[in-house]
Amino acid sequence: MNPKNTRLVALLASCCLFLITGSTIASSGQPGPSHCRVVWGEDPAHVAKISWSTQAAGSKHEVLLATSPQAGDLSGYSMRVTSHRDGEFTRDSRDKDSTSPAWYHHAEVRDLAPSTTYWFVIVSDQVPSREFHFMTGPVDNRPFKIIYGGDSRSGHPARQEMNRFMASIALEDPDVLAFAHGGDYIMSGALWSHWKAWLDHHELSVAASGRVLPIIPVRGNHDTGPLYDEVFDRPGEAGKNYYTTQLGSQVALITLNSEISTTGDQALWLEEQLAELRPANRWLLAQYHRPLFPAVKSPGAAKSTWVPLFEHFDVDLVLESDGHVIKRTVPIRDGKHDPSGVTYIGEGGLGVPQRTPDTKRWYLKEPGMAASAHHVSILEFSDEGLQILTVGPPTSEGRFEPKEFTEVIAPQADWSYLVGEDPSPQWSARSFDSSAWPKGSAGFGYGDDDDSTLLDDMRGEYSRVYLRKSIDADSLEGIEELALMIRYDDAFIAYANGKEFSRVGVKSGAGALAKDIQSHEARDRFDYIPIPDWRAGLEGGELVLAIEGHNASASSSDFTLDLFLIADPSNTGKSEGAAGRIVHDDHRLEPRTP
Amino acid sequence: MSSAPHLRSGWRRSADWALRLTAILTACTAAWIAWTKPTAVNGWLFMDLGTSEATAEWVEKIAAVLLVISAASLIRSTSFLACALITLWMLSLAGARTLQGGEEFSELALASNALRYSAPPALWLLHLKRDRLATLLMRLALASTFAAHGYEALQQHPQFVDLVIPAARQYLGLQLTESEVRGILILIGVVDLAVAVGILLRRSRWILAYMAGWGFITLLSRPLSWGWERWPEAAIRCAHAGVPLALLFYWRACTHLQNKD
Repeated sequence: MNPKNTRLVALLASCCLFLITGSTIASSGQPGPSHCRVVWGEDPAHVAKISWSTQAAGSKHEVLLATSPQAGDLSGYSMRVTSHRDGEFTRDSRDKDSTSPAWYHHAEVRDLAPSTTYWFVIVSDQVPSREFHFMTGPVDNRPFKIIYGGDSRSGHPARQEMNRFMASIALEDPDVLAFAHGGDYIMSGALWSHWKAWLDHHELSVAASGRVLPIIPVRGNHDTGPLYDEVFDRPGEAGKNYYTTQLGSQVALITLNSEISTTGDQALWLEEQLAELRPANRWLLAQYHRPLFPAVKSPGAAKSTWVPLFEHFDVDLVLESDGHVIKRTVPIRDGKHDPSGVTYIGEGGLGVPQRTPDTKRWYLKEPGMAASAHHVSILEFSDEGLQILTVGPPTSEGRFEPKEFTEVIAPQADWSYLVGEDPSPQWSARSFDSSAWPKGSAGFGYGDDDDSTLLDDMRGEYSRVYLRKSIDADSLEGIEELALMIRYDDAFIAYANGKEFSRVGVKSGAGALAKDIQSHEARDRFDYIPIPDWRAGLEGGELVLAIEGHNASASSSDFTLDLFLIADPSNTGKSEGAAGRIVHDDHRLEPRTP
Repeated sequence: MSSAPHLRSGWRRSADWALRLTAILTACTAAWIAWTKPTAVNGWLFMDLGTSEATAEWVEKIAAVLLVISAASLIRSTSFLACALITLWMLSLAGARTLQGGEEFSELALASNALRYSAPPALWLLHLKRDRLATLLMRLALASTFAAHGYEALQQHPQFVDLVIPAARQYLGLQLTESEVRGILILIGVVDLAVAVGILLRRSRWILAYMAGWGFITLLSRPLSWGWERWPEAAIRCAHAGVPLALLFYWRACTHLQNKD
């Protein structure tokens, strides 16, 4: 081939490659799968569902697995499972203007080996995710732990903090196998925007090592509509959502649905399950959403049906949610304290504002307990006993405050900013050119004497401020966790390389289309907002942070948007664990005498 | 709007007292609930609006005190302020349930709770002798409540299934399956919708008698099926029997007058 022909062939090949690559990216919207989650059902020793989202329907979705880490080398994975169910997340009329369409994908992986760590990569239309891993359930009687928590429908900064806390548990404690969520993931189950935010935040529960804790989901009273089944792939069959998870040879966890009829078919099924499972298991547990021995509210309608069954079949522990408190009842039988009775714990602390429990209720008095704090319960099963350790992150006023960290963007650093007009919709993407924007030192605002860049023309004229700053990828090498530290008045949306990772005080929409801005006064301290999966978009060589600040009203008397970026935060020092923990309750159940 | 100042009979006084007792019992129960447990208004203020828990509880405590004062005042006389306060709180509860969600058919709360917040203004209108307006309000509220519950029954509200199965087992000795109850719910839904339409079209005492009886059975089914600790759920629904009874008495008074004429 002469040089002229060679150049022609190279040119044609380049064009083809460009077209193929371009069409792939165009068809997938934002390239790459997101929202990775593993869902456990009846047989977690051998079967797991791996689920994820994409921003376009795509045509080929699969999971590649191996029993050793492959560092993302796709040729090294020995198992390949194609998604068995794909579809567009349901968006109702309230969602359509403020959200983009997104698609769910579920791959059921069967014939897994028990107690084995599987490393996996999700590949959607040839775009791979990072490498994750999870451990399958045991089939023998070895000791293990699961996390239980519920109610993450509001309090988004605290929800993110709790997810990060669970990630730290997953990182530090290999005996923790799974995470049972007691329901009320989101405020309105029919809204995709709410589920999307939950899924975004759920990414924070992935440990820095890539370890994912499989979810054993419960449907809560706010999780109405089809999206619950779309997110978790119909756990326990669509419309029912009740099922039993066998964990090892001696632990059975029955998941019930308190949001459908509790006395009809479900009660018959429960009675059959309990009769079958009780003789075969040392530890028998049930979980559902609405509490039957509540610390705040009235008992759920299932009380008269389920409680006699729990007591008749000597259920050991019942996991409840919904009340937004910590509680552990005394063991209960026939409506009174009885050492042979059933213990109920709960009631939801994965981010929701915590209520004050009614400690005068007889079943919460000593040796029971009740308190008010964000928390999860770590349940440790062994022959000797069932240890219930209820813990929360180290907090001050219920919020994570990093004491040690590396500054990536310093306080009062210069940011590019735009005021008085709205940029094009792609303004948060890395490719957007903001070189013409003026630069100013953080924070930005007026009216409260705490601003470095004074926006004294803002009041009465405009209510939105846009900030951008890029960070060279090389400077992020070796960093595991990135977090935004922010003070704001009234609200903001934050993006990393065009992907929204935090939204506070803006109910829906963005930019000029943002709706329902809630008032908020800037505090003296900075809020901690972890950035999930920030490495995903670093291929272009830089990380672009983009923040849009909103005032609830253009006539507001003040505005604040002050921020900096930190890496690898800790509160109590690495020697005590990545995040440390506060113990709210430490209780042991003894095995029942046969 | 015409009034009926000449309509003086024992039946009319019975109508007045049925509405009065309904409003008093509604107010007292609402006060009890607001004092002892977080209501939908508390949930909306605390969870949705982000007020402190203490502020939300203060709102409830103040409402509870005002409701008790209103109920007490209604024993002696019909006061506009008392009726307005009870109506305002019951409307707030229904509105908060709609806004907060988290319950099956909570979006229908304003329709399904219509009787609870309509009884006090109906009482006030009767007191003003705006009888036609009072009876129209009662008929609209009855139609709204029965239509909403009829729709929920047709949609197989899971709570309704859980009301029927234990009650049938415990009090009738019947072991009904869920599918059988779902069939019964369709029948109940159709009848509820029929009487909702019927009460708008006809001045039928039979329809009112059915509504009062069915309203009483359904309110009583809560504690019967779920235990007597759930008594407030029955008492807060007293308007479901009280309002049709009041209207039945009122129409009886009209008939009584016509017969005398």
